Amino acid sequence: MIRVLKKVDFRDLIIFYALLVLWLLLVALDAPGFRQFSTFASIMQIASFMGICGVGMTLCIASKHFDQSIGAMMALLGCTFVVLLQAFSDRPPQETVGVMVRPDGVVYMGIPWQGMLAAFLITIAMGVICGLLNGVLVAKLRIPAFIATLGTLYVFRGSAYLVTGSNPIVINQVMTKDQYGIFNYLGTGKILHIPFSFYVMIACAIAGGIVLRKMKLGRDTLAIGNSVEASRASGIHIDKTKILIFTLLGFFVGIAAILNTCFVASANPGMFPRFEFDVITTVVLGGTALAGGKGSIFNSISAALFIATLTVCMPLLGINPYYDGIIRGSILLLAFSSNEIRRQIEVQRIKAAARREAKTRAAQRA
Amino acid sequence: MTVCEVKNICKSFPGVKALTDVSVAFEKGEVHAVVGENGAGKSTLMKILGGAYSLDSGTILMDGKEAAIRSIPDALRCGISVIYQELNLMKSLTVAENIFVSDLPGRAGCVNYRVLNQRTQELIDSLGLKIKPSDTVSMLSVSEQQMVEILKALSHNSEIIIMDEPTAALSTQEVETLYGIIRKLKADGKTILYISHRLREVFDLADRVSVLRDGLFVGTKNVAEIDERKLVEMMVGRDISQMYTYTARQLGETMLEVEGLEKKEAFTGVTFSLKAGEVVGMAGLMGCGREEIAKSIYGLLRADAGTIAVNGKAVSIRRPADAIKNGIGFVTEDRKDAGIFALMTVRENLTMNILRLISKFRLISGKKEQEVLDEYTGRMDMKYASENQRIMNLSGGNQQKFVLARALAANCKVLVLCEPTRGIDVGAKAEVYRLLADLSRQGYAILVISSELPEIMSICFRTLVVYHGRITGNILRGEMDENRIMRCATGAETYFSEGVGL
Repeated sequence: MIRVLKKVDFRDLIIFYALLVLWLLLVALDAPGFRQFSTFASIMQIASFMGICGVGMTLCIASKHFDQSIGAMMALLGCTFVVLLQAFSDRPPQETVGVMVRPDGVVYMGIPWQGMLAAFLITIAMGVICGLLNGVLVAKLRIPAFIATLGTLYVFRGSAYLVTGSNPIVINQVMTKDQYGIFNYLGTGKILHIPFSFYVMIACAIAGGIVLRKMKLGRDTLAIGNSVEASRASGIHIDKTKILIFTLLGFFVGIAAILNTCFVASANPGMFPRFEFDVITTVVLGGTALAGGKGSIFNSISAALFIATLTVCMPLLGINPYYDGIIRGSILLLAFSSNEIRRQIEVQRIKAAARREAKTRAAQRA
Repeated sequence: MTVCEVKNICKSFPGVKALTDVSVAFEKGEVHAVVGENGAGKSTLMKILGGAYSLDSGTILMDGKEAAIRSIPDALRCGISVIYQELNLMKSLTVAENIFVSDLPGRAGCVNYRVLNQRTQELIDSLGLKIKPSDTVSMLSVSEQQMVEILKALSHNSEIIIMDEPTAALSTQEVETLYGIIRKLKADGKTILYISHRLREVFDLADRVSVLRDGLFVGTKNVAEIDERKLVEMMVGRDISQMYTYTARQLGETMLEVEGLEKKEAFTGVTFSLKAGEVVGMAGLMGCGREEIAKSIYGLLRADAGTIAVNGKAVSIRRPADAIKNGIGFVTEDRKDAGIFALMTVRENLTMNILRLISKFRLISGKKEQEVLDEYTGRMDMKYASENQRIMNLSGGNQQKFVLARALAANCKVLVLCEPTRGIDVGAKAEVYRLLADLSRQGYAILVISSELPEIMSICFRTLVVYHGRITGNILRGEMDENRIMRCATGAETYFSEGVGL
């Protein structure tokens, strides 16, 4: 433990401190309801979707790329998930909610467990394929990530409208009450007052952390973010690494999409507008440089909690939710100007040290 | 009369002290050469005068009055122009537009091209040049582009014109033209600060010469009063022959054989071999194809034809991973951008080639990684604060040791090193030379591509010379001399020592 702590550079944890300060501030202001478990649960709930995608996005940005298709990908995967559930169910969705007996007396079975499992697996697989597509476009066809994922953004969003016929679909229409209970638990269930999806996020973060810190893939990712030339000279398979990173991101988006669909118990093709920017914001707030070469999953998660806290607590403090965008944007700008301000301070420090030295030398001469 | 004087100038960058307490005075109407090794601080000093860097402490006096130079416009106002080695021209604009870009004549937001071209023509005539104001810069030759930079300096009425390695990219003919221009400027009372690696130019052209070494001011001499040997001694701080002494060593089996290697428009028919224990230099002028040959051996470029054999076995090298697998290591000339992983720790930098070897169940073992770091720190004596220090905060010499150690850690016995001592200080240079000698004694085969002939002559057992993509010389240690290498490098002769295969 001590060995691990020794490795941590505490100066790199600024967003974590900011999160603690924000929480202390909310306690000090005695924000109504902030000290209730339910408030924390909703913070964690919101943070978990951003966090899970943030794990993949941290890797992506650490390699000097980014992916702006993930919002559309979330929508497509969510819609795919409910359409699959629909397809595996023997109950037609257009009938009244909750009625599980046909007019002729036959009882609907809802979705068999094999169908549920298949829906999960196929959705995750779709996520992997979407990520793979992004990766191949960037690595093999040499399309800049900005353009490649802008293109797939449109494709994914369009596909989402296509698979749903542009209608929102509610999942409890197609399953029995017991079956719905399972999905409901995945989406809103809590263990020790903490939402289930937050545990999933922790698991994803640990997995992502292991990849980034302990596996060759993570090292290669950081290496590519530092210098493609040097990476090539070190025998790193650059294309393969890039493809893997995008694929991994697709996998995480798949998980987040399923959890979110369970949480809201429905999917519609227009959901998650600008979600990609929320995630990119959390990742860069976590100190992962857009210029690549470094990244911290822990900080990305802290940033996700930070943003989620703002989202949840602003109404508690009576702040008009329209301020959300303004505050979020300002924090991003502040965070980035702080980097430059810190750099300037460092430069001044070096200069001051040099001046002092010159003075002592001058004194010695005299 | 002193036109410009710097006093006690200091400048630091994170991790390096570029200039310490430097004081020099420049006279009106002189050509003042500034010399020093790579990393001595010449460019930093010139950039401070030119306003590209701000100084940490010290003063700049212009005509005896203190001048605050904090930006390039400040410097121009004070009458200082800098002509950088990499010319700063807007290539798709005309000569006239480039010269007067910061001061275009015109009215109501429109440029008056008649006045612009007329003014430019006056400047061109003052130097007796043959270019036209309306020529597009990209159509001009390098030397003509340089003239445009000089005209730009004149247009600012600069009293002091700083030229950084102005002859680096010029042919002999063009150098003569440049000399003519410089003498003319001098006659007009301009002061020229002339930075060059070519000492001959210093003696041809300069009135006085100042020497910098490791960021310190060594002295200013009248050129008439010193000779080349004395000047080199000032630059290096000691007799260069004492820095490193070559000792003969036992050569072993042939480790690398390159035969008929060819890459279109770069090199052709390249055949040579390296034996265990051998340090072989590869000399040649810029653009002769040396770097391309090195990169092709390592798989960074793909050769069109030819074979490479390691330890007598033909190998196919299509990418660097293949080269590493076959025991060929590489050190790039461009350490900052293509050698180090700047934001990563020293430890991560060292083990980048061998992550698979130190992993268990695909997880990198921190313990094994630390062992590798300890081993190479012991062998090569790198200096760093902790294993988690970012490599960008180390000195150039220490960074270079890590880049070299990365190849050694991957068990590469054939080393291809491009400019292994570029941008590192004198002390670190000597250390690198000693390291290479140690390695060759341990049976490594080393190819050193270098632009610095003294370096090749002091550490190599044998030198290959490349001219225009072909090997024109294979010269044994006993027969190496600077003239012979230069004649081979310029295609004036070919020389193959007897009794050594290529």
